[in-house]
Amino acid sequence: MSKDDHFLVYRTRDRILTVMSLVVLFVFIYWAETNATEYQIRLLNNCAIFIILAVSYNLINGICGQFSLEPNAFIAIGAYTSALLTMGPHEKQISYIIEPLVWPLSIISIPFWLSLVIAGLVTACFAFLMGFAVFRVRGDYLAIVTLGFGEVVRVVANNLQSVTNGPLGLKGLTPYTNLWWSFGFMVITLFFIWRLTKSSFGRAMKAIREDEVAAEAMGVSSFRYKMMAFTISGFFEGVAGGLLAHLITTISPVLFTFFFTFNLLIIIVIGGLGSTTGAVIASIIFIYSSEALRVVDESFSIGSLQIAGIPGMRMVVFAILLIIVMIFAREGIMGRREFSWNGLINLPKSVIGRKNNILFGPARKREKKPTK
Amino acid sequence: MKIFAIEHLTMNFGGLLALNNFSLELKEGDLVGLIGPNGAGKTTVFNVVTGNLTPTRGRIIFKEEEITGYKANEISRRGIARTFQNIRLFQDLQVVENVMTSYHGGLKSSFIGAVLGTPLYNREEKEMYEGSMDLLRQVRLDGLAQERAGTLAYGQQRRLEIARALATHPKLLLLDEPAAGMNAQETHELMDLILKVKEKFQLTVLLIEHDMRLVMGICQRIYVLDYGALIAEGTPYEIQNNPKVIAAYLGEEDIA
Repeated sequence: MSKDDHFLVYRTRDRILTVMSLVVLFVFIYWAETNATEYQIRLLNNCAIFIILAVSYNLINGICGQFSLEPNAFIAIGAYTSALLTMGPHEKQISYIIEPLVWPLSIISIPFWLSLVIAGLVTACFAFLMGFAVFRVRGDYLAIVTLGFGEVVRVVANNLQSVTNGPLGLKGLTPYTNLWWSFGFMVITLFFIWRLTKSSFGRAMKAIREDEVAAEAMGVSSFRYKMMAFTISGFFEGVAGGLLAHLITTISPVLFTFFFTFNLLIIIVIGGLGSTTGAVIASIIFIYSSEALRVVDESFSIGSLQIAGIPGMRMVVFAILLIIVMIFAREGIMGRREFSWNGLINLPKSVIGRKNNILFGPARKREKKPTK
Repeated sequence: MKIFAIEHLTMNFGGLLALNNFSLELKEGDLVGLIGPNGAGKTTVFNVVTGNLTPTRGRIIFKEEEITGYKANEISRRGIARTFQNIRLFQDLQVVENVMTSYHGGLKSSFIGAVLGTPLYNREEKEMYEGSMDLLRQVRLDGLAQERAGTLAYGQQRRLEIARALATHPKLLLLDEPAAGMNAQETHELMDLILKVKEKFQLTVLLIEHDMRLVMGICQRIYVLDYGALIAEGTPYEIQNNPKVIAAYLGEEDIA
């Protein structure tokens, strides 16, 4: 068998496996829709939304290597855009008690899916415009500038009464977000970002991460691909913002503080900066462990001593976890490795054989082995 | 035919005059050396030419077009490629991916095409891969194509840098101390490699080097820089016997 044949066989097999797992996922959703409890469905929705967020945040931070801290801004823009577009005119009239909503927005009411797409596009536009300003600096300065932008968006949302309804926020949104929407968009996001990072464009972004000067010298415009990563990341974060708004049905500026960004940062660092697979795994772990850690928020008693619960103790646990990861396992769960079907199939072998402790090996490397 | 010229280049870093009225001219197919003591401004010349620095004064002309002040990626796409003195590979990418990155500038597909895997993109990706493997064969690294670049030995990394530069389809290749840290055997192989790729890709080569065997062995002409100014220019033989050059490298002879 020639090298090409081998490659083709593996690719066909991988495609079949991918399609099969998608079918399994959708069967599971179909089953969960009717059989899971409301609480479980809520967690699954959270998972899907956080996966979208973490994976797209990882594109700019991990793949392109630009340490930025803006997702809370993008999520807010997406959430507000989508919410303003789906609310009915009557609902809007009731909600905006201090100042009425500005004209075109006050009468518009469009379907949910369209509002998500528009939310993504609006956020992408913001990201694109913002990119011109923020990518004049790099490194720590970029982090500070994007952090500042996040705050600006939140403060604007707080004060632009006639659009965002200020600190009152938007209440009583129709809970459109269900498992189909959230997992559907999750699959689209994963497909898009996975293919992008595996393509020549992903290579250009990684080259910028590895060495910007060398990338430029090889004809890769660093500005262009930073902008591309940022804008794409903005699009999906905007969509996720819309999904989130229609999941929790109430949005206000308080929701979109820096802590939101911080949570996502924890996720992608624990998953392994630069690994899409890691971002997915860490999102799931994050959602379920923050539920499991609810106990530390609650009051508990040692003997006769009653200790009042401190809301937010969970965040302390996560912060400590982040410190531990940074000191002892800087690579995170996946490092920069990615999932591959080969890696998964060979997993039992490599664990039992103990000759190769890499759980998920780089796909291409393993595929080529039989021909050598 | 004249392909490349530096005219009256001056570079000031605050009070430091790194280059002072430096001029240089290359004809198509030249193999020219740029030498000088440490800190003479050789790498500054490269950094200005490739767009990493904007010169204080002076012009750079490539293929009858003034490229002074262009961005690094624009200059690269016009056909000037370089290697770095302190190796700058994409350490975490595979060897073959390092070379493929250089082909990216010539890609016709959009990112949407890449995501959807259009026939055009798939063909381009295949061409990039095959072109890169070809180049890796030239520098005898094809056996290590799937390794991470950071794991290569020093001499291999230097060769990979050359392959990566060649993948941008340059007309002018700038080599910044390609033999640094190599032993005599490796240096000898490198000389052969430079001559081979120069011939095969019809390149004009400008190289900075401290290894005099290499410079004297393969360069047709040599420029000598000292404190940012040109002190000599000529054939290797002329340079070896130029008292100014000897003085710059070894100090003045004591006449007393």
